[in-house]
Amino acid sequence: MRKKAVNSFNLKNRFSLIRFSGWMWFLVALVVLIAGPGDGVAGGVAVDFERDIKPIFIKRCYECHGPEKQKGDLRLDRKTEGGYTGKSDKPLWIVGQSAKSQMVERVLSSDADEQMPPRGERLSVQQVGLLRAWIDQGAAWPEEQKHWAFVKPQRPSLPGVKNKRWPRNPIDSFILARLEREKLAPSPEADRAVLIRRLTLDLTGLPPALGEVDAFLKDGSSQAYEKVVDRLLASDHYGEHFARGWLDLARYADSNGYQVDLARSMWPYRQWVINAYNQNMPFDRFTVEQLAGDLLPNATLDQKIATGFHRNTKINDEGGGDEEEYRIKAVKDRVATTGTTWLGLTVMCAECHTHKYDPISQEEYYRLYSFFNSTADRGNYNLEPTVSVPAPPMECVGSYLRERRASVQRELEAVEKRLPLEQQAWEAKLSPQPDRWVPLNLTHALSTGGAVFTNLPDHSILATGINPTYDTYQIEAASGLKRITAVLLEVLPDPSLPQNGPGRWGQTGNFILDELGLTASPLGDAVSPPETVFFSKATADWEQKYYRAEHAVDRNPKTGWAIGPRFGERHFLIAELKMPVAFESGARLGFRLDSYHGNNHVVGRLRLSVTDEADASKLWPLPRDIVELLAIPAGSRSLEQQRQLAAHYRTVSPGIRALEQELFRLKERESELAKKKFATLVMSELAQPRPTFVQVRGNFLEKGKPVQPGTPAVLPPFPENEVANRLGLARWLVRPDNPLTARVAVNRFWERLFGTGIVKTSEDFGKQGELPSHPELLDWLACEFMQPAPSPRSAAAPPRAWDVKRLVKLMVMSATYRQSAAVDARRLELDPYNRLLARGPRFRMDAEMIRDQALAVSGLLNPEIGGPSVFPVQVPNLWKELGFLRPEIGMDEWPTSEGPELYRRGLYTFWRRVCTYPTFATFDAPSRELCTARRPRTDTPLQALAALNEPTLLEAARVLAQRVMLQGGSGAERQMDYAFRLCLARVPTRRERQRLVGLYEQQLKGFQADGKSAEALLGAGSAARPAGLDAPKLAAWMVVANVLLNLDETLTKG
Amino acid sequence: MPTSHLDHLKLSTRRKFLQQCGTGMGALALGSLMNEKLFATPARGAIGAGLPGPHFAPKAKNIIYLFQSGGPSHLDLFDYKPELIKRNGQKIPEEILKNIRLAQIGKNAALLGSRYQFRQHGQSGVWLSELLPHLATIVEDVAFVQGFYSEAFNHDPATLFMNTGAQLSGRPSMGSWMSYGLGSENKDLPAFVVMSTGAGQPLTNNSWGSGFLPTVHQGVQLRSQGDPVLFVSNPPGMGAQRRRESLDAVRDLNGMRFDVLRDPEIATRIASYELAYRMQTSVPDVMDISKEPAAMHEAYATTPGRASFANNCLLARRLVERGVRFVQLYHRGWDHHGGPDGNLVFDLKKRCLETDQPAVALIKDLKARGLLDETLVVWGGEFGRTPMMQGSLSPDQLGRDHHPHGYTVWLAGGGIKPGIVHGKTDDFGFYATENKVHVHDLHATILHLFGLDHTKLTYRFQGRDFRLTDVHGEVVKPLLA
Repeated sequence: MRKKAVNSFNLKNRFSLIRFSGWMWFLVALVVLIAGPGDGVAGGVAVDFERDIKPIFIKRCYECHGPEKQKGDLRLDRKTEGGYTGKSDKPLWIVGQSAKSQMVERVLSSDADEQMPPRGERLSVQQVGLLRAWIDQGAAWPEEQKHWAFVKPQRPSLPGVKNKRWPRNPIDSFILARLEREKLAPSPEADRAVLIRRLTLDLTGLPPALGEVDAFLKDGSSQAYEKVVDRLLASDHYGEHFARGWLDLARYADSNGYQVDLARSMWPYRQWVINAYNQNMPFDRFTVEQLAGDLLPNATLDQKIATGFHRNTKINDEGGGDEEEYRIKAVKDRVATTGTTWLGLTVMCAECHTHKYDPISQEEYYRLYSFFNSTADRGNYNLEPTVSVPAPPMECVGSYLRERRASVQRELEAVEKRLPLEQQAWEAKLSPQPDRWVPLNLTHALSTGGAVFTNLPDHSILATGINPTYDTYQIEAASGLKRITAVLLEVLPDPSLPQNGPGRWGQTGNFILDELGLTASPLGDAVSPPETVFFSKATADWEQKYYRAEHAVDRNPKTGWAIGPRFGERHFLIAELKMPVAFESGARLGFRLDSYHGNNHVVGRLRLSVTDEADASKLWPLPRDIVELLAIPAGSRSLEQQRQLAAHYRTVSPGIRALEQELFRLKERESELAKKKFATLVMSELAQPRPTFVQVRGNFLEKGKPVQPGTPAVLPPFPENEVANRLGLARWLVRPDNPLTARVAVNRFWERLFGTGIVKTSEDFGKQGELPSHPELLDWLACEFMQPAPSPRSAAAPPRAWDVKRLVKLMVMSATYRQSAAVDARRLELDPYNRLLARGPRFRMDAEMIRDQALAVSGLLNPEIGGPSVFPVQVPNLWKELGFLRPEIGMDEWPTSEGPELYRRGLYTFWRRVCTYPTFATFDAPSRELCTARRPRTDTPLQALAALNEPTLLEAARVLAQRVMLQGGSGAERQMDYAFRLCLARVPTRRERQRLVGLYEQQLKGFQADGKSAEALLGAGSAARPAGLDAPKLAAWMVVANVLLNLDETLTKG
Repeated sequence: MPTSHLDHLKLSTRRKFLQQCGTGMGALALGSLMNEKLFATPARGAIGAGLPGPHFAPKAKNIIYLFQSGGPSHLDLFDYKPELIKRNGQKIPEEILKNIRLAQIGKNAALLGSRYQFRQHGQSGVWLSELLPHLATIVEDVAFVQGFYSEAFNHDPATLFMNTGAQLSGRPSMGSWMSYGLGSENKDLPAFVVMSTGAGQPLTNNSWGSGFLPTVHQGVQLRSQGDPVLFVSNPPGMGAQRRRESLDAVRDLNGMRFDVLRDPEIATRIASYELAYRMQTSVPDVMDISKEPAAMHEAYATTPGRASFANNCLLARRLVERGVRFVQLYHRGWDHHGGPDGNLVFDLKKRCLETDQPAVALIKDLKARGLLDETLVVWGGEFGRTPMMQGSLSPDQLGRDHHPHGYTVWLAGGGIKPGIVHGKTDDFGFYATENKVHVHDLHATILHLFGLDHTKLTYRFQGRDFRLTDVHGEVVKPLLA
C-alpha cells in the first residue's frame, strides 16, 4: 500500500520537477549517470555556469578558494582564467579538453594529498560530469552582473498593451502586458458585493456593515468605488489592520521571551504604530522614528515610544545567564530584523562567516552591528530604559465596572432580604452541636529557620525571635478523636507581629503558606511509622488574588495561600482529608507548614484544630460567643443577641460572601485602574559608544579586529557628513539612492493585498530570493513611492513622497485588484499560484481577522482603538500545563478579562511568546520571538476544529443568531438572507438559501424535541441573551450561524 | 519551483482537480478528496536534494521520545564513578574547569560522589544505580550512550537545542522535520504528538514547534485534562449527529461555491473539515485507556483518568500502534539543584519511581507486540548534572548544577544495536571522553534510522537551506544494529 503511494507520487512529481525546476540539470545528471565519468557528456545539453557550476564552487570550493581564504592564490568566487596552474604544471582547465584539466584530475584523484575537496564527501558523479561538460562546452564564465536588487530602480515607461480599455492605472498596464505575452486575458470585475467585502477586509481587517454594502450597491456614480476606498482609508480601523502586519516584523509581544517569559508593558509602542498608519505618517519618517526617534533633536515622547521597535527583543529572566551574552543576542536580533524589514536581506547569515550568496562580509556585518551596539539596555532581568506614558482612555471598561458594581449591589440587597430564612435553615443544620472543631494542644513545634514558639492560653502558638527568610514549621499534636476528617488552621493577629500579623513580613504582616503537610500514626503506638495524609480540598475565609487556599494543599511548593490585602485580621483555612484518619486509640499528628517564598513570608501566630464531622457543609468554624448564642433556644434570645447572631450569619452566608468578594474585587479593579502607571520600553544611547569587534565564528567571547559603524559596500555609501549612529543609519536607509528600502516596502503592501509579493520571498531580495514576477512594476511602484510623479490632472501641489495611503489606494484602485477571483482550468493550469494575476486575489484570512470578523458580524465587537493588552477567553490552565508557576507576578494563569474587554480586536490580545494564543497559533500566527516577514498560510483539520468549537467563535454564533432573530425581519428566508449578507455581503443564491433554510428547519425540529440541548448550546459565552427569544429557534439559528462562520468563503478574503 | 511540502500537496490536489474539472465537479470528485490523507501527507518521493522523502530504506517507523526535562543526574543514575566517590568533598582539579562557564555554582564547589549503590547488569556490564531497578531488567534491549554531550547550560536554550538543533527559538523541532520528511501513517491523527506531566521548569511550545516549516508539521499537544486536542470536543448541546448535520451543510455550501469559483483551495478546506470530524472520534478513542486489560495497568502502573507519566507511556504505545510517527513525552521535575523542591534525595527518588517502571513496561510491551523493531525509544534530558555539589549535604538541600559536557541518554528498538554501552566520560563524569556523541549526532542518527539523510532533509527559509543538524552531525554507526 505504502509502496504504491510512493511510486505514484514520484511520477507526479517527476512531472512537476520538469515543469518547475532546473530540469536541464536533471537531464544532465541522468546522462552523466548513464555515460559514466570517463565518457564525458553527451552533446546537446547546455551547461549554465550560474545554475550548474557556481553552486558547486560555493558549496565545495569557497571555503578555501573563496572570499575569505585563497589557498594557493586561487579564488573561485570571481571570474578566473583556466590558465592557473598552482604548483602543478597543468592548467586548471583547458577549454574543450576536460580530461586534460587539472580541476577534473584533482576532483577525481584518489591520492589524499591531491584530491579536491580535501575534506568531506567526494564530488558526486553528477557534479564531476557537470564540471567536465562545462569545460568541454567552452568553460563560459559570464561577467558578474550586479544583482538586480542592488541596482537603484529607474522609473520604467509604461509598456504598450493591446487591450487599451482595461487598464485603470499604470499598475494594470504592467500586469496586462505580461498577461498578453502569456496569452491570458484578465478576468471581469468582481460583483459589487464581493468587491466591497474584499476591499473592506483588506483596508480595515473587518467586514463591511450592511448599510455600507447597501450604500455602495445603490451608488450609481462613477466615483462610487473610490468613495468607499477613501472612506476606508480614513477609518481608524485602517491603522489597526496595517499595524498588525507591521507588528509581526517588529516582533511585538507582551512578554520577555525565553523560558520564564515574564510580562512587559509594550502596548504604547503598538499604539504608536496604529496612530502612525492612521495619521499617514510618511514611510521615511516612520522608519527614522522607530530606529532612532530618541536621537532626534528635542525628541518628543512619541518619538521615544517609537523606538520600542527595537526593544521588542527578548530579555532573559532565567537565573545563571551571562548578561553580556543575552545583550549581544538582542543586538544581533536588531541587525537581523533591520536587514529583513528594510533591506529584505538576510544579513544575519554573515554573523559567523562572510555571506555565501550575497555580497556582505563578516566585517561588514559587524560594522552594521556596531550601529546598534551602544544602547543602554541590558540582556538579563532588566527592562530599563523605559518611559512613563499617560494613562490611555478606558471608558469602556470603566463604565462596565461601575454598572457591574451597581448590579452586584442590587443582588446583595435582594439576598439580604432572604437572610432571616436562610439563617433559620443554617441554625437547624448546626443544632444540636454547632461547633465541630476541637483545638489541638500543640506539644512540639520546631522552626527550621530558628524561630522560637510561645504557647498562648487559647491553644495558639506565636513565633518570636529570629525571623528567617524561609521557614518550615514542624508541629506535633495528639488528638483523642477516633476519626479525623478535616483540619482547621487559624492564623491570628498579634501585637508582637509586624503590622499586627498574622504573618511575619515586615511591610504588611502577610505570609504565604506554600504547602500544608500532615502525617498521622496511632496514638500510643511508637512502632508504626507515621503515614502521609492527603488533602482533597481547601477553603479559606479569604484568599489573595492568585494565592488561593487550594494552593496550600496542591503538593506544589511553588504555589501557596496568602491573605493580602486584609492584613492584621484573623483568617482561617479548612483542609479536608481525602481519607479520614481513623485510629481506635486516637491519632498522633505531625503538621508541616512550608514557606519557601522568601522575604519572611511566614505565619506568625496560628492555631490548629481537628474535627470528625463528615458533612463538609458544617465545617465553617464559629467563634465561642456565637456557639453560646446558638445554645439559647431561638425564642429566648434577647434582641441584642438576635442582632449579634444575624450579624454573624451575614458573614458566613455563602450568597453574601460570594457577592461581597465580587464587590471587593470590582472595587479593587477600579482603584487599580485609577492608580495604574503606564510605561513602555525604549532605546537610549550610551554617552560613550561601546567598542565593537568582529566576533570570530559569531562567538562573542572570541574578539577579532575592531570595527567602526558602516554599511555594506554593495549598497550606496554612507554619507560622510552623516552621524555614524542609529540616526545616521535610519536616514541612510530612506535615502532615494537606496535600491532596496522602497522596493521592499511596496512589495510588502502588495503582498498583503494580493497574497504573494511581486518578489515572493518578501524577506529576501538577495541572490537566494526569488526573482520578481513583474520587475518593471516593482520598480515603477518603488519610484512612485519615493518620488511620486505629479498628477497630470490637477495643478495642486505634487503628491508627498513615501505616502503610504496613496500607495495602498493606487493598488486597490487598479483593475487588477478588482478582478473576480473565479478561475478556470486554463488559468489554473498556466498559473496555479495566481502570480500573473489573471484573476483577483483570494486567500484565507489571518488568525486575528477570523476572530474580528465573527465579533463584527455578530455585533459583539468592541471597536475601541488602542490601550493595554486584554485577555479574551482562553482554554483554562494552558499556562499551568507548561509549568508557569509564578503567582507572585501573576503569570501562572491567564487572567481572563471581563465585559467589553472580552470582545476587543485580535491585535489587542495579550501576546505571550512561549504560549501564543491558541486559536491564533492554529491559524499560523508566529510566536513573535523573531521578525516574521510573512506568515505561512496553511489549511489543517486543527483549524477546522478551532473555527467550529473555539469558545469566542461559538459565542459569536449565538449572538449572531440573536441579531438575526431581533433584526432580520420575519420569515426564515428573509432572516437567512440577512444572516448571509452579514457574513458575506452578497445575497445567497437560490440553492444556497434553500440548503440553509433546510438546515434551519432540520435543527429547529431537533431542538423542539430536545429543549435541553437547545439551552445547553445557548449557554455559550457570557454576553447577554435577550429575554423572550424562543430557545429552540435561537439554538437552530445558532447552528446556522456556526455554519455560516465556517464557510470557506467566510474564512477567505476573495 | 515548488518550495514546500505543502505546495507539493496542493499541486497534487490541484492536478487531481484539473483532471476532474473536465467532467464537472460533483460528489464523485469531492468523495475522492475526502480520502486524501491531509495529515498523512504523501510527499515521500525522493526527487532530489532538498526535498523530503525517505532517502533509503528505513529501520524505524515510529519514535517515542521520553524527554526528562530539567536535567537528570547521570552521576546518580547511569554513570558510576568510584573516583568521584573517593574524592568526595575535595575540589575538582583546576585544569578541568578551564574555559568552563557554570550556571549557578562557583568553581570552588566540592566534588560529590553518588550516595546511591551501583551494580553491573547484563552482557554489557553496564552500571546502574539502585534507583532504576526496572531498567536493570531490560539492559539487553538498551544502548546506553554515556559519552553524550551538548553545548547549552540553561534550560531554555538547552531544551531547544535538544529538540531543534539550535539554542535560539524559531527552528523546526525534530518531530516537525520528521513529519515534513515522512508524513504520518494515520489519516485521522497528527504525525507528531506531544504530552507532558510533572512540575518544574516550564516548557515552551517552540520545543515542538514547526519553526519555519508549515504549521501542519507542528507537534499537536494531547492534554491530559480537558480536551485532549484543543477544541476537539463539540460544545454542550451539539451532539455528534448535530455536528454531522451542520458539517454536511458546510460541505454542500462550499461545494456550491466551488462550482462558481473553481478554486482548489475550497476543496482542500472541505477535506480539512471532514478530517476534523473524524478526529473528533479518533482522538478521544485513542486517549481512552480505561478499556486496557488490568494486567496492562499493573505493568505500567497506570490509573485511568489521572495525569501521569505512566498513563502517557501507555498512550504512547496506543498512538504508535495507530501509526503516529513521533510521540514525545515530557516529564518535568529533574532539576535537582538542592532545596526543598528539587534535591538529589527525595525528588530524584520520586522521579525515578514515577518513570522507571512505566518506561520499562513500554519497552516490554512494544517488544511483546512486535513493535519494538520499528519503534525507536529515546530517554534523556537537556543536560546532565555537575560532579560538584550544589546546596548542602542535608538531604533536602543536596543538589548538583546543570552540566552539558558529558552525560547519558539511552536508546532502544528501531534499529538500535541492543545491549551495548557506547562512549564514556572522564573519571569525574565531567567531560565526555570516548566515542563522544553530540546532540547533532543523535539527530543525524535518529533521522538515519528513519531512512532520512540529515544532510539532504532541508528546507529553504530566508534564503538558506536549513537542516535539523545545521551544518554538523554524523551518524553514529556503532549504535546501529
